[in-house]
Amino acid sequence: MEKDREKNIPVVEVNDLVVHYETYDGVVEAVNGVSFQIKKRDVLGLVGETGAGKTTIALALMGLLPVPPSHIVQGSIKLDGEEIILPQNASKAQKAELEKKMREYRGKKISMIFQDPMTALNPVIPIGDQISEVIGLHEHCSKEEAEKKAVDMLEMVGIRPERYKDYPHQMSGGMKQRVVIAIALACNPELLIADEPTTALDVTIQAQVLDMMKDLRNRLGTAMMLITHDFGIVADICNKCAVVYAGEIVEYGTVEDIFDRPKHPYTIGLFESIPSLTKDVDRLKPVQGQTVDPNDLPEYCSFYDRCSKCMEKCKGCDPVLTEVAPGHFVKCIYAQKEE
Amino acid sequence: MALLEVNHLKKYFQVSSGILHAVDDVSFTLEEGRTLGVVGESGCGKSTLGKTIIRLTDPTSGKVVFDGQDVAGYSVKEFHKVRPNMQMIFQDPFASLDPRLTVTELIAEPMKIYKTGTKEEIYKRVKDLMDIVQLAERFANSYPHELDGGRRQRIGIARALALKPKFVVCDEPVSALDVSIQAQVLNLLQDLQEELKLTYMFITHDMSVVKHISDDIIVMYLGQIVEKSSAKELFQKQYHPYTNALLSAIPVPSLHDRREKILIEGELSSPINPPDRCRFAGRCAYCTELCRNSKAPELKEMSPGHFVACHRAKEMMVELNKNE
Ligand SMILES: Nc1ncnc2c1ncn2[C@@H]1O[C@H](COP(=O)(O)OP(=O)(O)OP(=O)(O)O)[C@@H](O)[C@H]1O
Ligand SMILES: Nc1ncnc2c1ncn2[C@@H]1O[C@H](COP(=O)(O)OP(=O)(O)OP(=O)(O)O)[C@@H](O)[C@H]1O
Ligand code: SF4
Ligand code: SF4
Ligand SMILES: [Mg+2]
Ligand SMILES: [Mg+2]
Repeated sequence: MEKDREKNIPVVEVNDLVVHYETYDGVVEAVNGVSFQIKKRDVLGLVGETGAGKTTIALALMGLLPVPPSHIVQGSIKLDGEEIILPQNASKAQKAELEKKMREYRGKKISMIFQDPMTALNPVIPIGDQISEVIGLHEHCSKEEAEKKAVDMLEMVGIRPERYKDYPHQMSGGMKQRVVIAIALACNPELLIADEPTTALDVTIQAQVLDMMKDLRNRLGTAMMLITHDFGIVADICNKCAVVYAGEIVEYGTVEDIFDRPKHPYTIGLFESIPSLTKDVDRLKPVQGQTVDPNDLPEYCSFYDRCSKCMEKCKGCDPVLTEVAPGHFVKCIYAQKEE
Repeated sequence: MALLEVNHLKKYFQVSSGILHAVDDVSFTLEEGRTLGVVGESGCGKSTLGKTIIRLTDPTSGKVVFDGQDVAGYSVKEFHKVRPNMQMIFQDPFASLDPRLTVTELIAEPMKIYKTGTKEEIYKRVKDLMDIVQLAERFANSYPHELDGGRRQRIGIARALALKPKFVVCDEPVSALDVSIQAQVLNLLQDLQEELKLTYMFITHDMSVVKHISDDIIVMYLGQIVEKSSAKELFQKQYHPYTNALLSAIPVPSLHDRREKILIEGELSSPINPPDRCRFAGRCAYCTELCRNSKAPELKEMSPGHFVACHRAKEMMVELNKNE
């Protein structure tokens, strides 16, 4: 019975999620109909343009979207099969109950590594104490034991024990991020959401952190969603990948689909923008044009203005995410026709 | 003459358990119009080095000769005159921009502080700068939180350029950006360098970016330079075991070209009251008695323009580059 459950119910199931931010200048359409699942042991890489809505998706999963200005317009998010988005007309009691449940989830089952480490750190408490506090809460162990474990965690992320009493402002950007990672991993979560966890780290420490994450997945089957701009990291640790553009998933598949058979012109453009380690080029080749304004999205394909493959008919409709090969989805008329 | 000459620069911090050697005896020169890449472990002192050079923080000791003048010894008032020439683009464009100011006000701010002209002249220059960094005019009255990371970073670049600097420290200017916007910003920085003869110190963790943008690279480890070379050569040959491990750990954006990573294991050295010996010894796979018992190795030129600080440099030149 338990086994069946594990197999069938994804740890996360998102369906047709739409999130807006209501600002003075109008409505920011940050997430526009996103659906995906993450199963046990899956590591989903979420890549895409700055401002495409990746952090917004992550915060929605955590139940941490700021209200106002954010507003979940529609959609469903199930964690372990349980819905966490209430209907618009939910009662106060329902809201309070959900908030309580989410707080429990966040403490026990889900950990998030935030893009900005300072959102997770308290500036007036020494970093070691911040870690041992979390460990104490989770493992219900004595203060001494928790402190000893906190020292171990610090060493695992490459910080010397004598820095235990340092305050966040005394550490470099990357060191703060490592403290946050230590806290998130100390919880042995079932679901780990990591928003650019290693961007501030050098590649050797990054490799160690990725190994720690792999170990967590292998040991506990932790499901993960990893937001990153670095395709090298996706190649290293993810098995699935979603490419986000203007609040929509424009391509989704296994890492093999995305790296070896990318279909969407935006995905292809991203790969072409990366500076090469092996070849010398004078000038990089970014995707042409400028980011679309999420205050003012077109009715048709949102990549139209920047697409090198666009055709007359692209302006006539908004393509839907369509399966072009088993498990490989693309939201592009051109790519779908090509099949 | 070099535009910038850094000599035995040190920056120490007093912390609870002792004295932290954030930048410990760093020397290099930088010619006008060139880009020096700075890489190294997180916490090794890169940002502190940049900030100390442009005096956002006072050096503990050492010289910074800029355009022929030793500015490290300048008083705050004297330095005020040099400041317009030395600017910084910060890693986090969000944290470094005042959220209450519009794009126009943000870019005008340094010029107002330095009273570079009349109101009209300053606003005209703001327009020019927005043009230079390719920020469309319709964003003139936007606030930073309303913009995406790429545009915010362009504000940071426009601000840094407002006072027509000669030297700019770029502290991870593209780390928060997606690869396409990153490519746009890097192209922009290169164009500006050509047009304005800018000199850059470019700090980053992204090895493919540093290879692309730099003429020369210094590799730092715990406050010190351990290797220095032209960018091109460094990616072909490494003489220091740390550099070798660092380059081996670059995540490659491909599923096929997987390489063996050299994991750095062993005892971490501390930047607090460090002993006078090789700081990488506790983690170095090539460490011998000699390394443990000798003073810290000095930076030596092993081949033209390629410097390394390692007691076993001669052997490492062969050992680390066997597969070439
Ligand atoms: N609190 C907010 N108020 C108004 N708009 C917001 C807010 N937070 C995010 N946005 C907007 O929502 C859109 C999506 O932002 P989000 O932070 O989710 O993007 P992202 O994909 O995580 O980008 P990045 O890669 O730069 O972190 C952007 O246009 C952003 O400006
Ligand atoms: N104000 C301060 N007080 C005490 N220690 C500091 C202070 N600022 C920096 N340090 C210490 O100096 C060392 C170098 O920090 P720095 O920020 O220069 O590193 P970095 O190389 O830029 O790292 P990263 O790549 O993570 O940004 C670190 O050990 C840091 O903890
Ligand atoms: S649908 Fe048309 S415009 Fe949109 S990505 Fe595909 S080819 Fe380009
Ligand atoms: S001096 Fe010795 S310990 Fe230090 S890097 Fe060289 S071989 Fe390794
Ligand atoms: Mg984000
Ligand atoms: Mg730094």
